[in-house]
Amino acid sequence: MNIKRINITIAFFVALIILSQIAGAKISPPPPPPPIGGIGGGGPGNNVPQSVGYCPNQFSINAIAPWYCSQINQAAYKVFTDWEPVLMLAVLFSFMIAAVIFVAGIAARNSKLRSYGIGEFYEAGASLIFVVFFMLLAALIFGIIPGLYIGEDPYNTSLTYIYNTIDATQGLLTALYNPAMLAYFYTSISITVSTLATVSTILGYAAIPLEILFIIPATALSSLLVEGLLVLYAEFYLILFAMYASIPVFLIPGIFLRSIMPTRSVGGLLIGAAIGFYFILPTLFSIAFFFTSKGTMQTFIAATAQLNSISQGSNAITNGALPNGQNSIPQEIKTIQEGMGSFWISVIFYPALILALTYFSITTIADLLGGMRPSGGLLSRI
Amino acid sequence: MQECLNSINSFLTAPYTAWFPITLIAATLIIVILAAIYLFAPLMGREDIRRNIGIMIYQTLFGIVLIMAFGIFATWLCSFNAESLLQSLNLILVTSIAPQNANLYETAVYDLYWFTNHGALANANNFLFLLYAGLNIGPSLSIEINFIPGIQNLGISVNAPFTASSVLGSYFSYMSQALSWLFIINDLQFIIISAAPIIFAIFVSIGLIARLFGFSRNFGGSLIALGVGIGFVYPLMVSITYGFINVAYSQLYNSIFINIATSTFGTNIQSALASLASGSALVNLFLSSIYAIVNLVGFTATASLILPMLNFVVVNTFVIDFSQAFGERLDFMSLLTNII
Repeated sequence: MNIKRINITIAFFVALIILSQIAGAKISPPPPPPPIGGIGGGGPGNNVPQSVGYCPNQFSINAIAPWYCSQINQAAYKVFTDWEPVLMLAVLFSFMIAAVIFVAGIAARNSKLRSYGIGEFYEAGASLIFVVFFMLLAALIFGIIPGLYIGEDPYNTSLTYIYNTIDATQGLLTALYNPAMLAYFYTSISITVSTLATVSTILGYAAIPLEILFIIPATALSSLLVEGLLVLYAEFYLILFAMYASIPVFLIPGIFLRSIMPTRSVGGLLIGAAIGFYFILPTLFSIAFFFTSKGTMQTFIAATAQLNSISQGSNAITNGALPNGQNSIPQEIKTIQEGMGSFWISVIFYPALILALTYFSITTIADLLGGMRPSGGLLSRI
Repeated sequence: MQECLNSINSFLTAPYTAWFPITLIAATLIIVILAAIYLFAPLMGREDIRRNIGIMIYQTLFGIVLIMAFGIFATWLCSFNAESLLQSLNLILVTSIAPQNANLYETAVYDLYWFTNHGALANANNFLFLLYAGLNIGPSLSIEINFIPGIQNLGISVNAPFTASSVLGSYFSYMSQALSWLFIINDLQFIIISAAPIIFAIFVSIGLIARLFGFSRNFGGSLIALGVGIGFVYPLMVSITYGFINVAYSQLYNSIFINIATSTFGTNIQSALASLASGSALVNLFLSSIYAIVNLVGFTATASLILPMLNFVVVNTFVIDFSQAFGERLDFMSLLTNII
């Protein structure tokens, strides 16, 4: 009686999946929401070969990530819908394995094997629940199911914030680099009067204040800004990698591997990685940059404007040697250095924390999916 | 495929050819001895021995089944057209050097080779060097006037040894060093990938044979897990992840020069003439090249640091789980960490 009830439950689940597939094929995608700005908008144009791209022809390509669409929601939607049938096949595969074990148990009249098959049905059911959970979450975030769409997705938000921070950092670096180069050129000039006995450097000493007050701090600050840029780009590509790779690289192989008993843990790990990378990583990045990037960007944009106004032409030399005052470049550099704390918090500290939290979530989900029922030693005892 | 099969022939089939009859004879002998004990155990009044011997016979038979199953798996692995499958999923970059109808090993080696020698890592390294060289070409102003013609060191000289690399030069050398480390990480992976078919063949064949005997069953199971982990799961992960990265990079590469040109000269002829006339084109060229390089290095760093870590974690988890199922628990990453 119990077995029959389980069979009916499983048949219901399978029927649900098939129905959702049929319904999914008929439902057209929701109308595209406008991008939240900053990221995308033109770029080099649609000259990237589409055969190797992920951006459908009707969408414009992103400027900073040319394989990526400006309409991030649609791109995420496309990735998801492209892989959804394979995802369902993976779930059905795990049910099929459970069914084979169960039927073998009945045929062999082996109650242990039959019970084991029932246990495998539960495991396949757990995989299905996680897939349904994954789909529902994706539906909420990316608008896979019309009517459940709630707005901005974490990819769009986090990538836009990171891109805007990159933009502000590059602007500041440009504003700092140009006068620093000019000042460097002036300080590199040396006029030497040589006699047979003595050599005296005339302009060398005159350039020392400019070098100490402006060039050395500007060089150090520029290096730090480039380092921050490098980290920002790495974070940007990490989020993109998570978006494109989570389903095909982690979720689908994870469900397949979870169906087979000796590889259940690695399957659980891959499903955990998919959930961690697909949802938790971009969401945490969005939240972190929401709180930190505005202050940093405002500081950087204001400093850029100030530097541009006080370091035009020969002002780079005269204002560069001013220790303080309204037009002093060293004073402005000090202001920027004071604002670098929030920059480092948003660029390094929070991302490190986010990575740690993502890793923790992955291991927790992996434990839940693969570690609850240890498979170790079973085959070795056969 | 032929090379893979040759490798399997050398290290799997050849040991099979040599060992298979011996293994079968040994297994048969073990089964005969166990069967004899199984028969005589009730006469000695030892039902417990009888039960244990029955399990041991099953274990030996299961070992023979595993040998045959892994033989079939190894043959399938070499003939499986992974390249076509990955290409249909947009997970392999089609180039002139891409192998045709390649198996998993050839695909993984190609993906890693392209990334290191033609793709993101190689280009980040080459472009960084070019940029560094370009920035070091600066106006080296030098004027020398001698008070008395013909006599050196008596006069006035003006010197301006200025280069564009003065401001960020030290940072580029740091970036260059970081890239060298990434090359080391990639070369390490390349060695493992190149050795993957051999590792699979040797470890799995020895493990399967060792698993036949009771005293070496756990050791054999762990070797099988390590062989399958490094010989199958690792190339699979490399071909998927690096294939994805190569496809993404090919499109990033297409836009790098366009972005530099746009930033340097603008988008129309008027802005190009204006930037050339004002001299801002040169500064813009330097800065846009620097930003492009930073972008490229950021991409390369993500691909070279995150992917190997992910791949190794997946392989390690697989080996832990598989070795637990077939033999003794083996955590090779922890072992390596402890050694280091």
